[in-house]
Amino acid sequence: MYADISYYLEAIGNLAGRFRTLKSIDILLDNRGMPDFQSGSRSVIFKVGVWGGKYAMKCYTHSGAARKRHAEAVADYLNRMSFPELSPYRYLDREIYIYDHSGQGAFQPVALTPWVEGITLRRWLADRCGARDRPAIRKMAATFVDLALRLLEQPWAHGNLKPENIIVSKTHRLRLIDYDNMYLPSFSGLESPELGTPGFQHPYRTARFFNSHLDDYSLALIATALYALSDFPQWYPKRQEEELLLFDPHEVLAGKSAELHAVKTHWLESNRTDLYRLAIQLQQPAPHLPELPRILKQIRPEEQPVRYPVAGEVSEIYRENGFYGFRSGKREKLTEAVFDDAGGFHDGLARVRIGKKNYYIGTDGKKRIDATAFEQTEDFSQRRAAVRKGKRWEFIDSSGALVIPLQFRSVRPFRQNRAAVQFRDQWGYIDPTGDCCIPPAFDQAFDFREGIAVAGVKGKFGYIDPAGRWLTEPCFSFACGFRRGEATAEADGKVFRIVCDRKGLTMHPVTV
Amino acid sequence: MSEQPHYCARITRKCPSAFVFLINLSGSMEERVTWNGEAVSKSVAVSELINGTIAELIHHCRREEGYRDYLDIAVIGYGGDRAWSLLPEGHSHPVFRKPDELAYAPVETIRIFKERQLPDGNRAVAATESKCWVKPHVLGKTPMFGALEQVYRLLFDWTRQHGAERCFPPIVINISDGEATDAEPRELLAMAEKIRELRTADGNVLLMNIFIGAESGKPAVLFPANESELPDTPYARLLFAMSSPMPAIYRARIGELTGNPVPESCRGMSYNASMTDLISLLNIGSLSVSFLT
Repeated sequence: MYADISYYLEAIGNLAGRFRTLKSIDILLDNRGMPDFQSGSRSVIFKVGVWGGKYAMKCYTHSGAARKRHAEAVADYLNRMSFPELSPYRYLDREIYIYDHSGQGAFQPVALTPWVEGITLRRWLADRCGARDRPAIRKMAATFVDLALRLLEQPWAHGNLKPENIIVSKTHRLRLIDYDNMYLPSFSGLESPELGTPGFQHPYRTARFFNSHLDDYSLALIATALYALSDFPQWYPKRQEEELLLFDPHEVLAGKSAELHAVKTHWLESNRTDLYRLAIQLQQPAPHLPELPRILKQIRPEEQPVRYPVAGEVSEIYRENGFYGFRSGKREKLTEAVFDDAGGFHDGLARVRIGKKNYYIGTDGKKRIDATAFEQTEDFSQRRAAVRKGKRWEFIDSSGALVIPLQFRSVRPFRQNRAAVQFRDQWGYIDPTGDCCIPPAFDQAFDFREGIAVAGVKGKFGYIDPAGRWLTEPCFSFACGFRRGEATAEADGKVFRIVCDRKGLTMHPVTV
Repeated sequence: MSEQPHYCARITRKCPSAFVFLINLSGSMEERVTWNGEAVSKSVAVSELINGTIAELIHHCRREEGYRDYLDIAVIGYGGDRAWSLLPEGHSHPVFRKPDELAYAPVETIRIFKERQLPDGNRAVAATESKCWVKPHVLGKTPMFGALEQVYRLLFDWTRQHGAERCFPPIVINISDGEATDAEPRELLAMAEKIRELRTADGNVLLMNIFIGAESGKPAVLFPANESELPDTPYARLLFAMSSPMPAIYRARIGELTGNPVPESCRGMSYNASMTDLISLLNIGSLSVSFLT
């Protein structure tokens, strides 16, 4: 199927009757009063308002059965897994009705992801390199390498990493967009439907190279470019008009990249052998870079996972004379019992209170976060802790920075990249970046466990998936969370065992 | 070392591509055709189609920061005894315009209304806005040779600037409803061949010739593979000889349009095309935007 962008522009300019399920959709406008959209090589993306939030609605100028299968698999996978830099994704097949030039109409698919506020890494770099802001660029390089290390551990891959597909938020967090090239474990043995943008792919990437190592080369190239720009921000304009980021992969492989040669020489002379080894990765003959994780860890040794307490280390709260302290499993004291209140260690941090002053301490017993500005603090979970000031709750990260400044009436902790939060009278869910991934629609909402959460409307409970879709009707008067694939619920005086298997959720009456 | 395939270069700001639309503005373009349910002159219909094609090209260049200079676009009209640019004044080149120049050009915007049958069975009128970069003109004769000569000079300079790079080759789409009045067939053929010999590292310039028919009920011939598919007129055979063979990337789309297998010898030419055919032809002609980065 080929569709002109103008077909979609007509549809969004004449909304009535054009959407199959998105009945209350708004088209958001740019500062010229025109529909806010951007084009890709095979799609056009509109900024829309739907489900109480802003979304990127991708419409396809080229599509077919293969794309549908890929998109549906990606949507299902993303909504069952958790990775902070990825957004929830909904693929709606046969959603928007457009007419071709002959007047023939047909439904076309759309893909929706929450709108990620921020600018692309491309624009961010243009700005910071223009300002010669070496420290900021160096910090961004470190942030990117941290992300790269986590990406390299995953059984899936993005497939088209490039600066245009990386969004930098105001707090300099990174988010990945555009999932049309993703590799998932279920695609093993298949060929890639797309090959990514050439400027960020190994020249020998072919359709057959479709596995979890798909991002190796892109990660190495972008990381090398970021560190190079942190030393030489004046280089930024080089190769921009070729839609590259400093390096042309073909020139690199042929040993003809003047930029790579210059930066390798510089790093050798300045004893940055770790960066030199990273740069050499770009000259490897194959797209899989097995040494890359080890090299990146050498660049970011301070980001080794926090050593959480294990058996025999700090693991107990003890009480003495009415106060709390911490000790190891072998009862060796880490702190004296001086706290009026204390929580256990999570993410290497434990909340404590002395009088009315709240803090978080590390596993060494030392104060890590001064939370005295808050009246109430909760335990960390997934590197986020809820804190209360007045009647409103917010979230801080493990450095103590306020990262989700939206203020909620009530919150629950993050579990599986979802935290139930109460907006006014209704509950929805946010992800660790603060994006609303399940709009407020519930009277009650509980934590996700094993990819399923209990939610309630009008006094009845049911089970929802990470996208907020009901897996069962909300018909239960009582419902427990899942454990090892099973849960218990009660309806009309009867008890049911709810089982989650490949077919979904099934209900089995329990004979008491 | 094997030769790199052609007509597959990615279009970037450093390696842009070019579109040149040639439009006949002779007196016969005043003849009426039915277009969007109205009787309008061919000149009006062709102008609207060209404006729609330009809009589509520009849409494809829109990115986060605005419109990127991926394309050089020219529209040259020929009528009377001359050929001239039909686009509004620009600041970067006398004839070519960049996408952002066109997007922000202070030109008239018209509303186009189309009746649609919605999927729920209701009928609705859909309104869209269309910018009028190209206005209809009618001016007498058909100085096609002069126009082609101007195109040759334009693309000679363009390929001299970009030819060494792997730029997707320019495409010239010549739309006329009449025969040239300023040259003999052999002169036209020679000029067409000169244009088609211009090249970039990714291939030769493509020349498509679209002959618009009157509403006489005669069947259109679209992308013929050999002369036997054409009406038995010398001018049809001339246009066939003037037109480029269509590369593989175009042939798949041509096959969808014609519903027939498309051999390698098919030419970028149509004879007696209707306005509806012209839309499809322009769509196919602008296919290279799918190579935008």
